[in-house]
Amino acid sequence: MLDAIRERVWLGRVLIRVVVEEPYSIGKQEYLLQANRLTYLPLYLPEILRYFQPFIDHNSDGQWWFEYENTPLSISRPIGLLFDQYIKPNSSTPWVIKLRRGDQPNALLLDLNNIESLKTVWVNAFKESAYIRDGNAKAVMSLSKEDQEILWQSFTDADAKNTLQEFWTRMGQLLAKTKTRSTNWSVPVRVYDAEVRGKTSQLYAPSTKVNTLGEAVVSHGILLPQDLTLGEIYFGLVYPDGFLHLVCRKEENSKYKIQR
Amino acid sequence: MSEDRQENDEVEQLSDYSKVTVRFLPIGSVKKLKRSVISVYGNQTFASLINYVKRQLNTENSLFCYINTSFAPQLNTKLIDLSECYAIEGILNVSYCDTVAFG
Repeated sequence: MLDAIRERVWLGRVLIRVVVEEPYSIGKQEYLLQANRLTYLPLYLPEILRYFQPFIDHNSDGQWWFEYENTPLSISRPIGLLFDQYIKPNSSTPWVIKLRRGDQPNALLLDLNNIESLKTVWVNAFKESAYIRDGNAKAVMSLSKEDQEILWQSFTDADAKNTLQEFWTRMGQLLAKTKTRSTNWSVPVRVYDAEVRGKTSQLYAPSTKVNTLGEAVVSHGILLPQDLTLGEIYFGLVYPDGFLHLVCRKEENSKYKIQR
Repeated sequence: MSEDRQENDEVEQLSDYSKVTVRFLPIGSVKKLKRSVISVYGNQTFASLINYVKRQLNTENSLFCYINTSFAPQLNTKLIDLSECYAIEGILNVSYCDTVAFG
């Protein structure tokens, strides 16, 4: 059962329509993309720019960044999380986002073209989540450089479909101790409202249930059953950075109930 | 367990504008700050804390800051959130270094 859930999470994809418009390009251009929910938008930028290359207006310059309905999209949040924040579950149409250039909003804080800095963000989130689980980050800090690299590659590779084992062999070892502690461990959770703000929390595994977070909680595009504890769902739905990323969407609660 | 929960409830009531106590700890050969413990507004970000240390050290070079000598949080994380999760006995420990200390 757990393996089946992990596999589905690993294979989760979202359909994205990337649009670039004047003054950055000659006319309005579009690129369709099937993006891995677990990775980050900047990883797709080279592929997108390669396609748009003939249409780019060479008088424009500066960094590229993405926005959805005038909101800049955070570089360091997994694509699946961004999708869950802005798009209703069960939506079958592509998510339309715009590629923009220059005047990078300060909120982004990261150089979109610099994959190394993105990797640093991931490594630190990975250590942070271990710290919440274990009370220290020793398990992650003592990983070899090679294992760290394999973990990163396993979910960021362009064709990250057959790499589930490479990830879970190592992640499983990191979680082994946590799993045998039946009580009194904290689940690394980031909770987001449907807006931009996110909040890191450590919530107690055996006592915190999904329904204590708000009425409708979405992760990986799934409306989570309300009677499960966060500890129970963590082992299946954890993102590769070691966090559960949960989106609370109170305002649309009634709609969700009908869909169920 | 019940004690833990009570603590959690109390933390919930703090607003963004509560103050957070931060202790700075140098790593390696980096200079010690004159004031190693400060109190700052919780709605400030971790990035602003890094800039504060840079100003105190009078340096333009990169500075690497870590929580509890373990990890660097995302730069736009609010100090109140960090304090809620990682403060030890009410103090948020931030170590700083001029090279990468914890890869």
